[in-house]
Amino acid sequence: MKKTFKDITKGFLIENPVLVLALGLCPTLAVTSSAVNGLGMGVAATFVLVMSNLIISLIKPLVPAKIRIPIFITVIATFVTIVKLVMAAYVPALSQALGIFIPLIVVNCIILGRAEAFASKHGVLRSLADGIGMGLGFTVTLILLGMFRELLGNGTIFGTTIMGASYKPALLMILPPGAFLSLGMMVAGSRWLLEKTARKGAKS
Amino acid sequence: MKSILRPGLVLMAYGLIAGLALGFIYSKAAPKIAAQEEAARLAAITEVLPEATIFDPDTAGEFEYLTGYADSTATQPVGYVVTAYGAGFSSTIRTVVGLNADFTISAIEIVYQAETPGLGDNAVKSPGDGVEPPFEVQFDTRSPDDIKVDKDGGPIVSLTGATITSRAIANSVAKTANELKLAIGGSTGFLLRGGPKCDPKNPNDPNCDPDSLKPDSATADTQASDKEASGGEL
Repeated sequence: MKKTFKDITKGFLIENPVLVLALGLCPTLAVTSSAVNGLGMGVAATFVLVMSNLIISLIKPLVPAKIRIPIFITVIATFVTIVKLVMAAYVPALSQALGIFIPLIVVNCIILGRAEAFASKHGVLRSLADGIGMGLGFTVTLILLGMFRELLGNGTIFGTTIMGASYKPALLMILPPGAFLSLGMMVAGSRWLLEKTARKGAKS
Repeated sequence: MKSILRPGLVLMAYGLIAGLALGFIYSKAAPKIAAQEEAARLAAITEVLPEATIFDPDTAGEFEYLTGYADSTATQPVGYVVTAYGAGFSSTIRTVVGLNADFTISAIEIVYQAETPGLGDNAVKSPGDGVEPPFEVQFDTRSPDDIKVDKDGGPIVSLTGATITSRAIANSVAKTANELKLAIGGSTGFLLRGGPKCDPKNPNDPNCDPDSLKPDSATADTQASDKEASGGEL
């Protein structure tokens, strides 16, 4: 039980998929031009991640080692397509809002990475926990990155104006270079946090 | 041989299961998706031409459009609704265009786009959603000849970091509106594309200048050189 709990919490900092494992950087850099976009991508990816971890941990005895990667990809792509179809048919408003993020999930290497590194080696419960933890860690990172870029690049957070009218938005932060700058700063910040906690642990 | 055949067959089995599952779900979802799109289209039509309550499908040549009437007894149309297609940065943008009876724009509504999140897709943000100035409402009440983005010397303020998207929408709206004007005008009288009326009896009428008949070639050639900042390759 303790292990399962740890599988959830590790996704936030110790094994944060973006900041520490450096997985899924492509969608991370591309969509975090606003906090809302980060939230949308995070939620969509978390959903697919949890479901693909679940299914792959279930079918793992039926997967020959040699062709596991194409099978994982088949499972993930099938799942993404199902999500896309069901959303378009039943919740068109959500489908409109997340539309662009859905196809991007297939190229998100977090999902294949967790299938290969975790779900194919662990049981159903821990794989589920890993999916939830990694997904939430990914979502939180994307929201923080989106908030930072939106605030500096547009003067708003979640569309609400924060900076006064005299603030001249640094457009660069919304454009691709801003994504690299912000991500670099966030990685540095997470390293600093990790090392600080490690030193504390060594002392006590 | 066996080491090749076996994995292949296993993979085929997985592909078959995935394909069957997708086929089944698609067959269930497709009619619902079509119905949702139709509902969204109808909502967009009413939104771009609010004065009209009755919409009659019409064609002029190859052109398909809707004629809007205020009520079932009206004989004069209050306007027209037509769909414009523009090649944007990463998608073909579909815009439903409402035109008043005098062919000025009543309103536009972008019904499909897959442009860059945070840049091009700001085109669909409503007023007050953090995009200044809002994009779609800038088209209201304008004459089609007037619609150009600021980089092309027009009054439409482009979306930040999304010149190609802005230009694609503006040019496709202007072009489609002018084409409709020509198509409808053509069935009731001789009308030049977007220009003033040409008097065919007067050989010296400057409006009959064949140069003014040339199609909107300017819509395509300016786009290629302009690179849009974006997460284009994901």
